[in-house]
Amino acid sequence: MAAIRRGRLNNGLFHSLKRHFMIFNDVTILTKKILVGFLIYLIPLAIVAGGLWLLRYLLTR
Amino acid sequence: MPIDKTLARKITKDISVSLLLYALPVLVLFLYFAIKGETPWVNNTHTPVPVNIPKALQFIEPVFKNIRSWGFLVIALVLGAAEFALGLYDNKWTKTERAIDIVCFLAPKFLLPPVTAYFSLKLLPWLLPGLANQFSWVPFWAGFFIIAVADDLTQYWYHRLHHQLPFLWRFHRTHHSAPYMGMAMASRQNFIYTVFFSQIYLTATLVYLGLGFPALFVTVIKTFITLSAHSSIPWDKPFYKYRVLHPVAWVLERLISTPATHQSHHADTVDGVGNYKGNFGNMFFLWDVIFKTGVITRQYPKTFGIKFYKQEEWYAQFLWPIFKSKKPGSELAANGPEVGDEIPEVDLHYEEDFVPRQRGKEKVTYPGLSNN
Repeated sequence: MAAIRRGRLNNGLFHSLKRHFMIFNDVTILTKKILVGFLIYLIPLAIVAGGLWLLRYLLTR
Repeated sequence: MPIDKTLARKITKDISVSLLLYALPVLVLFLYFAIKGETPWVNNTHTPVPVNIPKALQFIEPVFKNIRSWGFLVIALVLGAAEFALGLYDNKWTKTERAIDIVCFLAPKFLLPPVTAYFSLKLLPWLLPGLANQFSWVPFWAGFFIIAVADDLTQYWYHRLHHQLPFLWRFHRTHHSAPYMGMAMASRQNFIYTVFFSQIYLTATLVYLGLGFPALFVTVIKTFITLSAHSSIPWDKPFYKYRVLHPVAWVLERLISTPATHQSHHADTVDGVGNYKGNFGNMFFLWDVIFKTGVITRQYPKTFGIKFYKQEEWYAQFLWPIFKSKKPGSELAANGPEVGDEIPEVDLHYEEDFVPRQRGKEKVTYPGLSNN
């Protein structure tokens, strides 16, 4: 109990978690990765779907 | 680790060219309809062309139809068995490597389908209501061309950026840590890399919009090409050996990924044969030819993997950054170095047994980039 009060145990647990599990910095990397992936998905989709829509629009007029 | 300015310029330039490549199949289709004066979307009378598989090949029809579920497993297991029978793993399949390969092969088969099913069946109808089968009037040949370019060029970029943007490298590192080639490592990927594969969601969206039938064909062909490119069986060797086959080889090695070009990408050195800084193509090698990231040598590297490998635990390789490696100094450990796919140029103080190679001290060059 005295160790917890002094914050030693909490620190130990925190360092152990930090050593083996995801931390805030990893969430940032993960977010950047998802963002890059989303752009790589969205750009071709916009070109292909937008292109097909435009094709139909131009040839229907 | 900052990104090299020359490389950043090259990436920007290549992305601009890619925008045109994505639009190319649609432009061809536009010209086709404009010349023929057809407007199939008016009454949308388009019906899919039935496919007749030759009698001799009918036994593989179920594999073809179920390629996304057990069909892939059958192909990989048959090829893998052949590789083992030929002794191509050369005692490199250690306990750690076995664990990683088996987990990476099996776990996504259970974890990925719920994600893609939710995306296709719930999320897309919610995001794009009323747009299902909007483009079902697209002829099969054009749909095939559109999906093949969209899917594979997207995978090329996804793959290339995981090599060239240092903060992305560790998500792809697991695929390169295998010191061998073959079916055992073909599916070896970090799950975060796999679950955010952009081309899976792109193709799923195009299927939702009405290009499902051509997508099925592209998926089958792509599976065969990518698996055979990862194989340790050099099936392309006869094309280089016999002079009469050289013209076929010339076209083949520029069009699709072969064991020679893809093994070069998995080599652990850049020595003329190995080119882990290029040869990013998955189904088509053509992207590497267009963007000058490819090296064709018609030779096979002697060693594979990454120099900065510490045989990290399977859970760290499969689920980094959710789980970290306990190996000191590992790229996958907490506060681990961001080495990237480079051969480290300087001795890293926490890496006692690492001796920098002479080659690592040379100036790094990217294929297709001027050294000015």
